[in-house]
Amino acid sequence: MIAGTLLQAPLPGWSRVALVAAALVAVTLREFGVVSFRLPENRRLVPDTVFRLGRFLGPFQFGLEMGTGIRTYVPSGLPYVTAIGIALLASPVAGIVTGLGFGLGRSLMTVSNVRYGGDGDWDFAWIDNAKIIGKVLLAILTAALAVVAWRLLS
Amino acid sequence: MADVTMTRTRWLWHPLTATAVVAGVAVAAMTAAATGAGSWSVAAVWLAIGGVAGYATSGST
Repeated sequence: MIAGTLLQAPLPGWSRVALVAAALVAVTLREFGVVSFRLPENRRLVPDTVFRLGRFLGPFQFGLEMGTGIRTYVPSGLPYVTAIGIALLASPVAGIVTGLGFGLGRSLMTVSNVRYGGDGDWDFAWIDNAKIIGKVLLAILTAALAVVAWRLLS
Repeated sequence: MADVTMTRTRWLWHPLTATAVVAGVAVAAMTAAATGAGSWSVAAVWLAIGGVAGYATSGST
């Protein structure tokens, strides 16, 4: 949050919006396969050994490492655009709210996966529909950032 | 009986259904913010942005 405040202070609103737009364009091109570049991620799975810590601390550490990205694969560029958007456009409170939303989004996946049942059925269904889901989420994120930018500049 | 109920409601938890939920919440927030609602609507849009980003990482489990 402090870093975002430092970034935002010297830059006028229109330039910050332009930077976020540039990041969004780059990720969009990547999502459509027009360009290819690696985004930072720690490509390691959280080991099962974390569950040696017990029924509470084990899942807590698992969720902490996965949720914060310390150890996880990141299959989408959307979180990176979101992070840049937060750094350049969001207030500290908005940053916290966005983080809350991120947790809710991840939780929705987890709950849906469990409630869908089967052994990996939800994951297979995700894979089968990944292209349309990815496009819908990208479109939604683009529109949402456009609304935020419009409110910022108006 | 429980299995039948599970089958009938399974579509509620399908990835496309969850995607529709995320999209619906985001559209509602954007509509409020775009029509000039208070600052709470901008916060709602940020919440939706975070939700989209979090849900988009679903393939990483």
